Amino acid sequence: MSKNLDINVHHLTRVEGHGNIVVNMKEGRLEKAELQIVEAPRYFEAMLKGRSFHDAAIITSRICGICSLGHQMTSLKATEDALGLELSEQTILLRKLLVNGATLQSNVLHVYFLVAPDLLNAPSVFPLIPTHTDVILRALRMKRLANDIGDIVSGRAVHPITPVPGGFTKIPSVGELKEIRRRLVEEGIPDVLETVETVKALAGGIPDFVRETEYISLKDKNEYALYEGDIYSSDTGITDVHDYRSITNEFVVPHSTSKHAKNARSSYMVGALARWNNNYSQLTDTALKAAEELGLKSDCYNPYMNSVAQVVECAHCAEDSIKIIDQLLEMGLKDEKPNQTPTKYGVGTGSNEVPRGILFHEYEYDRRGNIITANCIIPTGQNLANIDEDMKKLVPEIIDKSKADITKHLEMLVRAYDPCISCSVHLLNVEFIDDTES
Amino acid sequence: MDSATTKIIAVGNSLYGDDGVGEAVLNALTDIPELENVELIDGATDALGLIDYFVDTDHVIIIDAASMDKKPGTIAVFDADQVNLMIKSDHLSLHGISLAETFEIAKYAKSLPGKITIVGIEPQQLTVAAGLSEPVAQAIPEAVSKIIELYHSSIN
Repeated sequence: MSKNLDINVHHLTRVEGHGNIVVNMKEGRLEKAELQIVEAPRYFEAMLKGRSFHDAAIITSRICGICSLGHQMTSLKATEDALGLELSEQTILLRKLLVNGATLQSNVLHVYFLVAPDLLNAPSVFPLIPTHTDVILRALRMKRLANDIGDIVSGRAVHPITPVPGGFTKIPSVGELKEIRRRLVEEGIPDVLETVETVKALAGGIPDFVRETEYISLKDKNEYALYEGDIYSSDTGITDVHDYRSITNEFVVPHSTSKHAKNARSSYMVGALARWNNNYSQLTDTALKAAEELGLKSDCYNPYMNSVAQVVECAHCAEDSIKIIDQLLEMGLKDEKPNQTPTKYGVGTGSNEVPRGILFHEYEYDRRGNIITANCIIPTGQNLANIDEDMKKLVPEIIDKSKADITKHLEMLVRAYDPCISCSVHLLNVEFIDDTES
Repeated sequence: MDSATTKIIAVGNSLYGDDGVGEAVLNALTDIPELENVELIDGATDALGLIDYFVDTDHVIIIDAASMDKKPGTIAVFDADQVNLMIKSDHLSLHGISLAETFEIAKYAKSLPGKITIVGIEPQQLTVAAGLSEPVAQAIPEAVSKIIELYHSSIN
């Protein structure tokens, strides 16, 4: 195997230099296999300095349109931890409902728009739309349902406005919750089951690659941990959320402005597959059945299966949302005021499972309730070292394939993690035809 | 209430300099009495999320920072089908999907609104910073008048 290989895929996004896959092999020896990436959230930490506790979640939810709910929830939890704000059971349930909706939405979009085209050997989703219109419409229907959960609970789907430190400024009506419940039962669950069938039919295209790593997620004794729990590592067990730095151990690498992270090994994985490996027994029955259908086994070490774990989570989120709504309706909705009277000031940590993995926010507040320092560690930053390690093992295993095939395997691998790359700017690039602007 | 539905959607990230111009214009529109019945939406940076707002809508007006090789602060009003928008198909992540791809998906999914008009504003600075550059901030009143004009033309 004395092959030379030089892959340099520039996935140019709106900001130059984001998301390049670089692999070099000389005479059969792998010299380089890395994902070069620029991470945006770092810069936002400076923006939080001096801001009031009322503003932190609003600002951080704007870091990213796709992960906005995750940042907001984690930010609220960090603030509430720092200021000693207790939450009602109703607030916690409504937040869990929001997290389910956001996870469902992100997982659906990722699987349908990014993963399915790979499995169908299509260059992107666009050529598939005319031939698979029903499937795309199903994806959009599921997305809309997930979005509407966000709309009724948080006021609007993007950049939620009603969740504030200590609770909600407005809660959904009984009618709205019942309507969402009806749609979950009549549309949501059937669409999830169809999704399982669709992905099952394509699963043969998932590369057969195995690399065991350390899996890190939240873990809760009562439920499949998305909103609350301790940090759990498949290698080192439970760690209190406040000690997250002892897990993330961030370090700088030359090829990325985003820091990498490691714990017990040279890298670890976060995200749906890590959650599955650490907490699968707590999934709902429909989700476990979906996993069985899709051939997802416990202790799965194939990172490409992250997308399959996302499908399984879709089933969980839909079914769990129905349970949460039932619980809320049974308790009777109370028009509570958010608890915004700090009982202390100091450092607080929040952690949440967002679709791409475990997210940490930490703020230090002064006695006026303004932020002194902020720290934010996103899932993509934590996964970067693991992606590099995957590529290092994968390339020699597939070196006999064509360069195009190797490149595709590498792109699929990165896509499986759905890294947060270029959400920070959404500039429209326009070229006028015959200068027709008015 | 007018029978034709018009929605005005701002796109962009207000933590990223002039990319926040959409939101700034949207905020300026909230106090305009004529637009009382128009849904004003902050679409932020989740381009695919816009599809949900297209359904059952006659006219969608999108406000966004647009790189058009013009002087910063220049405003251009155009229909989505009047221009070439850069479509990328090799996304590594959902995070790269932009308006151009969203229009494409909506078109095939038959979810496009009757008409999409884009109010594009040429940015000057796109670095992490809250706040707009001077030429872009000065363009807001003109953008507001253009949007009001567009609204009137779409209901008449």
